[in-house]
Amino acid sequence: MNQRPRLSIILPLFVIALIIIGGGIFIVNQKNKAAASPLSNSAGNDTSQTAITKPSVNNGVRLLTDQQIKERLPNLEKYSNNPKRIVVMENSFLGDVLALGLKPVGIADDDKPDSIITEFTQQISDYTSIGSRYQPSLEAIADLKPDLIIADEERHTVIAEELSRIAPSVVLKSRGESYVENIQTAQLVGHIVHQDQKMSQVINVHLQTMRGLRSQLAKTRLASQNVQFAIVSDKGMWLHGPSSYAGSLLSYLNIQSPIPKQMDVAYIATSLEQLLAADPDWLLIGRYNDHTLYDEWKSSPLFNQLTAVKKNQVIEVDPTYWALNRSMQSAEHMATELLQIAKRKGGESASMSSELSN
Amino acid sequence: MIEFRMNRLSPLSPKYQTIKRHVLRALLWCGLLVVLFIGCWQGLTAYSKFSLSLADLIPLLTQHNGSYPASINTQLLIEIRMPRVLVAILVGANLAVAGLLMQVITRNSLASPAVLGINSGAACVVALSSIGLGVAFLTSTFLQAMVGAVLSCALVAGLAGYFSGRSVHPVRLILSGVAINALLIGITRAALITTDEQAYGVLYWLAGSIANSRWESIPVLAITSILALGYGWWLSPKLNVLVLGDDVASSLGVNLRALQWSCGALITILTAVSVAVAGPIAFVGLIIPHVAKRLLKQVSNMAYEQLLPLSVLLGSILMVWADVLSRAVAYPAETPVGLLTALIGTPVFIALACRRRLDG
Repeated sequence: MNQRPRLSIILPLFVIALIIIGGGIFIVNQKNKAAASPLSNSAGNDTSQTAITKPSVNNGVRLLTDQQIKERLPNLEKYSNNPKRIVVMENSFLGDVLALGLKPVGIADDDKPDSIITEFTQQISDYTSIGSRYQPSLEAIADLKPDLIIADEERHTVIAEELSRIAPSVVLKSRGESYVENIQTAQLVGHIVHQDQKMSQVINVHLQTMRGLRSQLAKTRLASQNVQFAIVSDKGMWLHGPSSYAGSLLSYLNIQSPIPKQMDVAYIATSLEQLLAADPDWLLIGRYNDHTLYDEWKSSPLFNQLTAVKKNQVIEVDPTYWALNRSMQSAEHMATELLQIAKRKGGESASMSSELSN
Repeated sequence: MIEFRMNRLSPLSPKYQTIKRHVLRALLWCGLLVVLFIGCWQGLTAYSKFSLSLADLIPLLTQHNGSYPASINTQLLIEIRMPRVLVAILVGANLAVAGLLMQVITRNSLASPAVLGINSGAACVVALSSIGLGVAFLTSTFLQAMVGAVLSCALVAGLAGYFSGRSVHPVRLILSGVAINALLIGITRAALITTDEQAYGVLYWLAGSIANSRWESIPVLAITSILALGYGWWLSPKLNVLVLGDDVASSLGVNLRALQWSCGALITILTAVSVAVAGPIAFVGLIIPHVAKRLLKQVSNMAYEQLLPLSVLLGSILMVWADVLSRAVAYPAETPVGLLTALIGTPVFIALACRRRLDG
């Protein structure tokens, strides 16, 4: 009899304690992670480790030093000097490889060639799709007989061993990366194909372009207002926070975020109430569906309380640039697009990317 | 005279026991209504970047000229918080009663509406639609979930032999549910693998959320729920007989097959409409009937006329408070309410299972 209350109380308490401890550890880890890479000029994935040499800062972007690159990619000799058959498993790597004049033979394009931005498709005439980024076909990759495979840390770490059996492969950060991390990854890609110097030049040219666009943006009304990019689908709206690629690019361009404190999560699921609380001056939306939750919100009287709606500053942008193809090329496109947006007069058409692409 | 009455109402007298049970029952109902009321109040005002209070609703009572309230706080309460609380109340009530009915017709205290594959059916059609394999007329997630829920339920019922004209053993129904669930979950996963960027949205929907509840979904949900819950309550006397066993129920004139069909239809309707509005929300249908039975055992006889409304109230309380907590957990970000019901439900269910095992 005495056992009854004990077991029936202790076991649930144990489960609750486990949940609380697990949750606590998760929150602490998230906070530590946020504290370790809080700003756009962080030094990449391993910034929490001691930097051995002083990092070089180029136009406000903290680049990896040669030593840091060598530390992260120590076995350069196993990679071909002049790779001809490269397989890229993320669009961001595609941008890096194309910037060096190399043409990949295999791309994980989700079987949707339309998801690749025009800047890339103009340079790749013929390639083989290796399936989705989430679930690429190892057989298709092996069939291409690649001499280098570049995979994404978040999606492909679990198949890294299989990939390395097919060809020399490297796993680099792509999904969830910031703007600066994207450039640092480009440095690593340059190193892996033995073209550090050329990549350095590409990055310098890019940063020069970005500096020009940044100084132009500083003279526009966007400099004193905040801008928020969000993805909308029929399931909801996700704000791309300051730690996301789009958010960190805006931060690099000295454009304020309406949610500057929300650094720990890159993509923030948002209700209309939270959007009202953020209340951005400019709202840039990228559609994943024709009919979205955002369209339903339009019928709510609260929707008209948004500053961006009142000032006619809700702009539809192309999610392939703003969310799916993180690269130096898309960053330049996004910055140019922001400049166009800043020059617009109120009441003009609210769709930008198609105009720029044409 | 007073002494005489005191003697009659001694703690051992049947009348004293009856009065005590009446008082306890009244206290239980009042207490739960207070908990629900506080939950609604918190649901309306707590965890917002705006300083919301119930006083923001006063302009609604004082303005009679038909003009829409100008205050953003009042609009937030009316346009966002109220539908959200209403959805929580209705979905909680529906899932709790669906769980209760499921446990009656399967005579299995571990059964829940998920056994009929309703959640996984809805999820499957939503996931398939997100990769462009849906039917053209299923334009909204609501329709997709509704159709998926009804189809999967029909599939489970068909496999169990409900359409064969013979009586169906509850175990066969459960086994069919397990098989169809496994199939639907497999298809859903396959669809999600191919969606990639869209998968994030589908996964968020799969966790179950009422953060984007809107007035537009309330009429369908409310009318369906009230009619279905009312019909369920009307069936209560028959359910009282059904728990005594098929033979006894038949000998007392209950049409078993009609009752099973009615209950099956009710479970499907209640769960499908809830899943369509809020996504698949776990554990409510599983644990609330257990909690309701335990509470009712203390204060009354186990009649479904009381068990059903008590489940309605407890289900509403659980969902309303889970929604409040879902905002509190990672404020200002929102956590899907389905995760909270699972987090609350798991330890409660373990406690109930432990007690049941030890009682047995």
